[in-house]
Amino acid sequence: MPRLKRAVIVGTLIGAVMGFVDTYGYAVTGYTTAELSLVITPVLVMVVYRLLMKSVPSPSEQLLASLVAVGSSLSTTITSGMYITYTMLAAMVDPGVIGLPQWLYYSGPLTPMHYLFYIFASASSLSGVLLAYAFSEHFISKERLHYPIGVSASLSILISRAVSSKEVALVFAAGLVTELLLGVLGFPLLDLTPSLQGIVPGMAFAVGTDVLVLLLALMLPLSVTAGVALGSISMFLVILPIMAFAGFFAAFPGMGVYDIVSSAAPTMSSFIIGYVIVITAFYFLNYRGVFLSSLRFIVKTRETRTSLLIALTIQLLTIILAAVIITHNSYFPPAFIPIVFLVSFLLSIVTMRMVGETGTASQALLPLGTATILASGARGAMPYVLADPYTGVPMPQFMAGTGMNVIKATEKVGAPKRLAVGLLGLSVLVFAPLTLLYGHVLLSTYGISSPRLNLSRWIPIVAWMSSLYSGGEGSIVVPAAIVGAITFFIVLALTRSLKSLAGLSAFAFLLGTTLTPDMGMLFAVAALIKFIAYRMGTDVYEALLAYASVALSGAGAGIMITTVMSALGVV
Amino acid sequence: MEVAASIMAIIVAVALAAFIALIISGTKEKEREVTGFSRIDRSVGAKLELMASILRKLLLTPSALIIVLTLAVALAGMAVLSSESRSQSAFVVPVIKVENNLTLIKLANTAPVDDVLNAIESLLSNTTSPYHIEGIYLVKVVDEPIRVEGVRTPKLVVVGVDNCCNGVYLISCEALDSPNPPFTCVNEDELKGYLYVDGVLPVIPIEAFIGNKPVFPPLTSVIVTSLDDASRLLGYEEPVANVVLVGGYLPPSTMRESLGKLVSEVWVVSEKGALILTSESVSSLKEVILAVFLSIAVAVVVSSAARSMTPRVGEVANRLMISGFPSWGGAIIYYVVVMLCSTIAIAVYSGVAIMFGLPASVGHLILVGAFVLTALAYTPRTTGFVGTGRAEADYFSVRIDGCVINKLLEDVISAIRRTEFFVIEELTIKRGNDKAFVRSKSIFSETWGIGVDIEVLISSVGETSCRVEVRASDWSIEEISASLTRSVRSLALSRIRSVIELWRLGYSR
Repeated sequence: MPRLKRAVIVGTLIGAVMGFVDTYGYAVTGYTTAELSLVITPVLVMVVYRLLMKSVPSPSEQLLASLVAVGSSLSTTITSGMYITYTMLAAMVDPGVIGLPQWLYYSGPLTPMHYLFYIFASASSLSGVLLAYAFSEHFISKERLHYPIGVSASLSILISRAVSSKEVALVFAAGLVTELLLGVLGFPLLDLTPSLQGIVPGMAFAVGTDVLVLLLALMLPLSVTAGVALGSISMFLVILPIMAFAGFFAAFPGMGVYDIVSSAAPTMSSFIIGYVIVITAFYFLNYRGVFLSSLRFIVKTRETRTSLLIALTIQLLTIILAAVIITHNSYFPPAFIPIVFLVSFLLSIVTMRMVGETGTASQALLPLGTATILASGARGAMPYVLADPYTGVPMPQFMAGTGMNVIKATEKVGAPKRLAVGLLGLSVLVFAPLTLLYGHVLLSTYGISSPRLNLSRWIPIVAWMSSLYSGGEGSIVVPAAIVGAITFFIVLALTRSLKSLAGLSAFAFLLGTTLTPDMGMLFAVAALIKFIAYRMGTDVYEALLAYASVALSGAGAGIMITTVMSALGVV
Repeated sequence: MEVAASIMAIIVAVALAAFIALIISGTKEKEREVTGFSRIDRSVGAKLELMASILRKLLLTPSALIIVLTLAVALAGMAVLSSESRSQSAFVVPVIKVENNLTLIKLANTAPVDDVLNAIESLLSNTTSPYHIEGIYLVKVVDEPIRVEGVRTPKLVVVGVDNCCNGVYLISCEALDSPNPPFTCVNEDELKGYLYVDGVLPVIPIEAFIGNKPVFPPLTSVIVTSLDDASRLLGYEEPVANVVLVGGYLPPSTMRESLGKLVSEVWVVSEKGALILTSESVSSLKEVILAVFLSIAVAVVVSSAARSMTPRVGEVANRLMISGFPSWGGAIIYYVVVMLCSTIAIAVYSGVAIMFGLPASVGHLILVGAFVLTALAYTPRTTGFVGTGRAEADYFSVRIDGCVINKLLEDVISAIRRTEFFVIEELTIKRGNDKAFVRSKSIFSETWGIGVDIEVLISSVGETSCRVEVRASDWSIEEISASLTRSVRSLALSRIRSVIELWRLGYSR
């Protein structure tokens, strides 16, 4: 117990700082490292232990302290992140028109309703962690999924124990300095998209230098890295030009890669919806036997049964709230509650599956949730705010995926599972009001006019959300969804017929289709590096993984330093 | 709302209770000690050093130098040729149409109003068609939003219109809480009147497209005022402008010539639609054809140079195999050389391009793609022999006559323990009267992330015989290819198999 107290104290100290850094990062640049905090934090924990406690924690203690801090980081995505997003939305469109209640965004001092809503949203999101706890045996032991971010976190913990060794310090410093340099100088992007539009409209190609993405790609299994690269390249070099030719979106000369992404946003979302529907059905059909036996096991065991029941009750109540809270212009048909609930549950399961292969599901699966609410005939912001994991606040799917990575890391370092999951959940809840306050303080200090957060960048997103909330005319392109479904079958056929593509993951391909081509190219480079390292021997391959995880921690620390420097006005 | 707030509070309480309960029960769980990680193979550094020294030697050959120079020169040549063959872009938006012909000229830079008018006059001096200037505008999307007291939304777009507004700033009534001179509230239709000529031709910039719909900045974030006031608001010392609306038909061919340093975009609008001409140069078919020809030339040179490297690469691959690299390790030498050559060439070209301002184009993409494909086409696929032995199955069952369970068990345990290839992490042994069970968890000693679990069950059959059931499963911390983990599994099983075969043949009795 004294070691637990020590872990909680260190985790709280780091969490308080990380929560601010993540909030500030999002407030001024629109980006956050919350999703990768599980890999970055263990190294920081080790540094704090050595500096303040003058001791080295056990791997288990290090993980528990990290989870307390990670809880703070994760809560920023739900509280301050969404608070800032809705403030942007309210600044760009009249909140009254879309029925956005005042307790969602910045419009003066924080009210008790602000706090209640965002803490509730955190609690509702945590139902995902309870689901992960219930299904962890199924995904980790039965389906034997890798959960690369969880493995990476455990590597980070185990390697940071040798942090005094020259090699590790050097690699950490390399990640940190590279990220600092890029942060200060800006991330160079070679965008060939404007010239491509004259030849093949809709095609996009760019080469970027995001070191964090490259290191993350190195951490993922080779087949996943290659699958993500293939997904991105296929989407931007083949699928989008076909859909531009079909007239689904505008592609004019001079458009850059982000213009194409913006123009193709409804088309890409629709494509993803088609792909996700088929892959979800295929997954459940294929795994129905194992899945049902796991479900029977979960129901028989008291602990997992309780977790499952609590998680499902919270998710159901949250969706019922979407029908209960009626604001001006908002409406959600109660008859659709069971359907939205079922889709939310299925998305949680598939997200956990996808994260097992790809490390992160990003938001690849979530447009299906949006489409379900849209199909229900819902109007106004509130149904989406409460029940849509894509544009709304409760994010059980995101938390379920993260929860699985946490459980995998817990198993790898031999930490107590229940304690780890409990600490993570409690930490998210405890930090939720603090990170909301951080967001509020930053908004009241900087407003939404930070020179680095150009409001005009939000116009396409806001236009899309606004169109969605008003009934979504043109938000879903049905033929693109059909193309998405067909693409899944093509991917499936290729992986089954071509030996060289045998290990390719259809989920990785899906993740790739949501990433811009500059990121896709980084994944391709990472796949090549991994391919070569693997052929140099498994020892070299494993060393690459180990050092990449340390460099990733260094790069994460680099982002934090850049953010603090930015807050101090140095950069 | 009270009901909703109560439900929210209940959900928070339930979640809190669930996680506290997990923590309380979790404190009774035991930590498991992890082992095995301290062994990151020290030979990795040596392997990388060996690889680096080999690459240095290969890269300093004349063939590699030729490959790098060929690609770098081709990239630079492509840039020079493509800058002459690029074309300006044009596209049609059919939904924007007006009854009277109009031309909207957007200038590349903001300039004083008189200079703008003079420039337009001289630009259109050769035009034979009659024209007249209908309006002059200053349109700016600001980097840092303008915040005004009493105005709800920050202002992103400032539009200055000549002959407008009588010294007031017009804002949408949706955004203004209370009158706040000189800011005046007008309804959105009136505001649109200034921002869209004839209700359809947008003076304000298109921010993006969502699908096929252009997205303009919301009217609540626009300020409309006179040219003088807009210029002052944006910090200019004198009235400036950057958009000119010309009435009358101006032939697109004439307008195309005007694109360049002065004019960035021209909208020629008629009853048929809007033809948008931009100064953005795009790749032309001519450029693609040039790139293909250059690629063929590069391919010829690169393939010759790559062929000349083959004997040396083969020699290096043999040395690598002797140094303990995997048999197919040598094959990657080519990949690495190709990758490094192209990286060096691109880096050299990038330096030259930055110095002389050369553009990046589709031609470059074709060229680099062709280079990589050609170089890889000449890569020897295998430089070593890869064994094709049959892997052990993950389960087998054997009947042994004349078997003594305890003795056989000792032999199996000994086979598991006495191996230089594996480090035993766990070993569980259970003995009964007519049954024995061994379970081992071993890590492959060459790595820290690959292991094999083996279960052996020996049960007596009748008086003197027994059945041995062996089950093995391999695992890896990362996804190592199945062929590799299978071979590790076979290695582990071969020890058990040899013990069983010896017993079957009667040598161990």
